[in-house]
Amino acid sequence: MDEGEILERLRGVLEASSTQALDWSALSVATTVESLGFDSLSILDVLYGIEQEFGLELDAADVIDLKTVGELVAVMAQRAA
Amino acid sequence: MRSALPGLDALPLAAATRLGERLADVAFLLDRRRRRVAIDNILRAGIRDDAAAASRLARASARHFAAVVVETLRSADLLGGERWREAVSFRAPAAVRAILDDPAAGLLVASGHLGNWEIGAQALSRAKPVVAAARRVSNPHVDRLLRRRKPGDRFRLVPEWFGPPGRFTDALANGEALALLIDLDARGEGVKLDFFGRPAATHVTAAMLHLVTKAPLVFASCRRLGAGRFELALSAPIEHRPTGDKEADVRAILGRLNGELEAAIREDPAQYLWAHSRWKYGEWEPPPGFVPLAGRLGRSAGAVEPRRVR
Repeated sequence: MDEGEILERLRGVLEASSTQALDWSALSVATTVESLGFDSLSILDVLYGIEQEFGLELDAADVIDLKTVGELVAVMAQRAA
Repeated sequence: MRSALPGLDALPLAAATRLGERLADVAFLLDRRRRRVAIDNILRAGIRDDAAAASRLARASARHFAAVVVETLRSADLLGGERWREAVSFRAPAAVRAILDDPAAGLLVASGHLGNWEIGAQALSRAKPVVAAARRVSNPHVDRLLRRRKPGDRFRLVPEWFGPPGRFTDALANGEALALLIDLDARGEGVKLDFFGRPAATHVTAAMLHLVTKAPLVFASCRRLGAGRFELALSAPIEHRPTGDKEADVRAILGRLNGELEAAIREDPAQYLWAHSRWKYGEWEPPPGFVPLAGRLGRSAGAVEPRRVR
């Protein structure tokens, strides 16, 4: 699974977990995680969605401490390898 | 209440508790709104069948709450040093004791406003450091006093709302016990779930944390046995692995927790805080013009989303 495929599938997970009115079609590897506006509950939704969509169990810190969606994609690609 | 606190502080515990109970009697008579909420909740829950009996129970509950406040203010005296061993008897299955003894193991502890939940969390912190999610007490003076009296070394508070997003998961990763009260009205942030047979807006955080972190989840209650005496009971761990149906997973976990809480309340309903508007949003029905807000569990039927979409 390459990073482009991860980003496409991740877009759906993030959108389903967010309460923000964002233009999700514009999500890219350069998008900052902070701009997605996740809080303590929606971050759990993201992690649940990633586990179900990709079979990857990430720690919350894996997501919260990252700066961009691209970094998250890279972590997921590494875990999936 | 504010002016009475210094007096309560100066008295021996038993006398302070009695004075607190008398003040609660007065507040029960004067605070018509809370009195009505408590009586209504008791009747809705089917704990009592008639208004007179419900009123007597509501007053006993108000007295109990006064004792909770007094004991919490005196918690350093009650639990300091090794005195906690005498004040609190501890009941937990071997599997939970093993988790408490493992400094690397995080533990999710769900409880309700039953018994003395403050003393329960502080006593638990003697076995494992506790992080408690807390919202402010509505009376700011009582809130400040209660916060000042918390022990600092193995017990800390994190905000229930608007804190750093990793504050709950970090606690579990650090091997701490994360204490969550599950019986406050969740308004638009929860799912509708039966509590005493009636739909109540229920916080999903405990369930989601268990599903995502896989941290063991237990229900806890700390019953008052008398002035300065308590029994802290922890249930066997609740284990539920994600199935892919998030809402079903959350409902299954919260249903078990609500069941544990209901059973504990039925054992001694006077020790429950009935004055909270528990069913306020659960029985709220959207009027015409309201549609569910996207996101979270709001995408599924049964979620509570009392916000208007333009």
